[in-house]
Amino acid sequence: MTTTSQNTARTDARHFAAAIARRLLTDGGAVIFLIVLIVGFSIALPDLFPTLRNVQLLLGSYAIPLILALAVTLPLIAGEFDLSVAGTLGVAAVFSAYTVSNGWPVVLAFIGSLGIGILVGIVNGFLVTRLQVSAFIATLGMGTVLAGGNLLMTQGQVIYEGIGSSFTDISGAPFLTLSRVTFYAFAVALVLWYLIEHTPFGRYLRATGTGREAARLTGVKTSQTLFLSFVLAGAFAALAGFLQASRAGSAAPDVGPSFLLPAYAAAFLGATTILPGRFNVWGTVVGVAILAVGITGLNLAGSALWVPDVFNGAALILAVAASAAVRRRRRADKS
Amino acid sequence: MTTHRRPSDEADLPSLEVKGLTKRFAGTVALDDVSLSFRRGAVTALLGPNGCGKSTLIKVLAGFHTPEAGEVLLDGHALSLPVSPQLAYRDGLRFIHQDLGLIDGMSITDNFGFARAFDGRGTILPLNARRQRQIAAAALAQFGVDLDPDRSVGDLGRTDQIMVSIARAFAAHEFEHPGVVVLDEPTASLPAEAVERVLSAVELIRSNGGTVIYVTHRIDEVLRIADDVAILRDGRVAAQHAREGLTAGGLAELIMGSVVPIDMSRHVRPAVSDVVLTAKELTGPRLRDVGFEVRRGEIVGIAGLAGCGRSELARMLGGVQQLVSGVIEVSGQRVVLKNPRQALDAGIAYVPSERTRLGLIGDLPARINVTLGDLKPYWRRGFLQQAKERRDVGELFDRFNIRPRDIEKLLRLFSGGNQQKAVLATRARLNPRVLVIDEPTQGVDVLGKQEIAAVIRSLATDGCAIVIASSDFDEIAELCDSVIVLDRGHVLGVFAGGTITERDIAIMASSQDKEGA
Repeated sequence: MTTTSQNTARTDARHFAAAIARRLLTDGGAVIFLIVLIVGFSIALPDLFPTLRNVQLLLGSYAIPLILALAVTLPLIAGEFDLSVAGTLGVAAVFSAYTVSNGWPVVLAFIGSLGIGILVGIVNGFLVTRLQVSAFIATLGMGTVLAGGNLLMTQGQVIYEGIGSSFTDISGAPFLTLSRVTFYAFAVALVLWYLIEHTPFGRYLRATGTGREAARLTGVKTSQTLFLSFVLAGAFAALAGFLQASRAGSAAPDVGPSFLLPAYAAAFLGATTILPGRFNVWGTVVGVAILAVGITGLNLAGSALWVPDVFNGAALILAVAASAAVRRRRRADKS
Repeated sequence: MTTHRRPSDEADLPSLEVKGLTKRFAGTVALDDVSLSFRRGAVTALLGPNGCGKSTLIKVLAGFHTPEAGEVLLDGHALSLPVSPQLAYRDGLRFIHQDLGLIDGMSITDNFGFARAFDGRGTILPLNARRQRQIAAAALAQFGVDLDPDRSVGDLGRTDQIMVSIARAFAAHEFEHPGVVVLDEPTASLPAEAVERVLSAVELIRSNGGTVIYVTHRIDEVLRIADDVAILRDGRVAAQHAREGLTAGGLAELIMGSVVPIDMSRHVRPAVSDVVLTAKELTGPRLRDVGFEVRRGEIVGIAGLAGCGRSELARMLGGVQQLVSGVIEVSGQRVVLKNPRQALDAGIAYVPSERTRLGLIGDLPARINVTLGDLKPYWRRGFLQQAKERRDVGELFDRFNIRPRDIEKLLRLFSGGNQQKAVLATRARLNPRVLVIDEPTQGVDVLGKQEIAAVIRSLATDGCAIVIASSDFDEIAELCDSVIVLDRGHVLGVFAGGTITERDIAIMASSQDKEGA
């Protein structure tokens, strides 16, 4: 009797350990990794990492990457890439800085930026749904065109003159000890969470991304859904650009492109967690947090310039590999 | 050259044997201690309801799945598990999967070539094109298939594609010494006379001493061709014995594990009712001047041989394919159907034949599939009301008897018959005036067919006008009030009222097939 129950206990323990190990590798992996990073850096750099100052900085500087990562999540759910978002961010940043430095009211600069983002989204949507250009190619081209447009607008000069606090306060002024931009990013997350998880549009997005032709035959307007996902991605990317210019108080001609990779890395990391197997808002938030904590921690530890690129790139590859593993496991579990 | 381990003096040894095969998928047992043997020179029909483990067994043999326990013996030699597809091929194991595994854009010759790894010419050595072509031509000739090996596989009809993939399994010298051939529902979407060609090919393989494992849902084929039957149910072997002496009823009972109530009652068709759907001179790809009417509560069948245009007609009604000319009217109102949404708005719902690709989104839960076409009832106060949605979907599951009653399960994990019932539920809940169904019971087992027929009848009784396009004349004869027979895009004849038999339809459908075909 005793032996049997001991054996059972041992088997149970083994099953339990195996289950934990599996979760580590897949579903909960991203969240656990984030916690490990936070705890690790807090122990390694007790005077630098777990400080209010650092948390404020971290939340402030990763708010805009979060908005961009959320923007790409929409077309990703519909099954398409939008590689133009970084270009849109750049154009919106340059446009807002340029107009504000030329004395436009901030409100007009904001509306103009959003208009640009929406316009870019409309063109992307048209290219993809009407002309049937592959989204990857269409938005890659669009992003490059926009980057070129930035050089034209700025004449290669950083725009910084005549930008006052009425513009920079929009993102920088503190609120509950944090930068306002942090709250904007969480507001965007809430809006997208609502759109994706609680509205018919969210369902249509998922159906369009998972089985486009079947969804169309069921009566879903898949082209319209896809079109709208590009327009929203453009609008949120433009919002990110406007806030970027406000936060920096300037706009460099090459602002934008460096935001692209982290956005995708975060979105793919996000697809492995919270609602594993699909792109989701809170997963994307966790993804951005991993990048933020990892890169900031390594920087504080004194690593060099190369850290962000290597970390972002490696995170993207690992995230895609992990999300493929999650999908495989979920398939194997249930087939 | 041949490396087949096939000792001819051990003729009594089963050619292929599985012993104690067990395969689990997270909690569910797909194969439970399955032991079966397959005789050389015999056709064994592998039968069982959807989800019984047939597919899993075949996938274990083909090396897709690794079993937890058990062994696979080929000519008495245990294969190492998981089965290596390359070694199995070398040892004469051949698969003709349901999707056939042909590459559409390539010629027949090249399709033969890559399956044989171009006869070991490696990856970069030049190919002897003429020899490759000869191998293909010879194999096709063995099965009496008259096709130019240079033709692209994508241009062939379904029947020719199946014949090509059968012939491909036996290129050149292997024809005289066939090993084990597994055919997975090769006739699922074929009209009657094409079925005969496939069955003849199977008989040829058998007479050359091949071991054939034949998976099918069609009991008439089992009676026609099988020497042995092996029946799986819930992952276990339910029966294995000689086919001789078994009747259709007896087989159905063995397969379903109980007496199958054959529900032959027709739905009550209203004596007089309004015309709901009118098609006038529909012309488009493959169709010329097709006209007919469907009344409220009536079930109209569209029958005909492969390529007659029945699927095209269904697609036109569903707004998937555009008319070149002609008029479609719903309740007397002319409608223009540029896309499926417009068709639905006009009151016409369409169920496509390719269920897994077009009918449903397998990677989404059943609930999301079922309600996707109309979310308005759940869109309240700015949020999708999921509690109400779950309740409604649960009720639909009960009404359509969809099992298991797990509305959050991914739809692809349901069996074929239950998937099809779910697809019908997605359309039925839109309350269409016209329901167009292309191949309602393709790849569905006996019991599932009965249930789907019952669902269709009850929808008709509720007043829906129903159009069924099907290659299964039996099904059409059983379900329909009137039948339109198409031949190469035009109406060959119409059966209306009275008793319609499968035989009548078959005779008419093939009556003009010879000329010009």
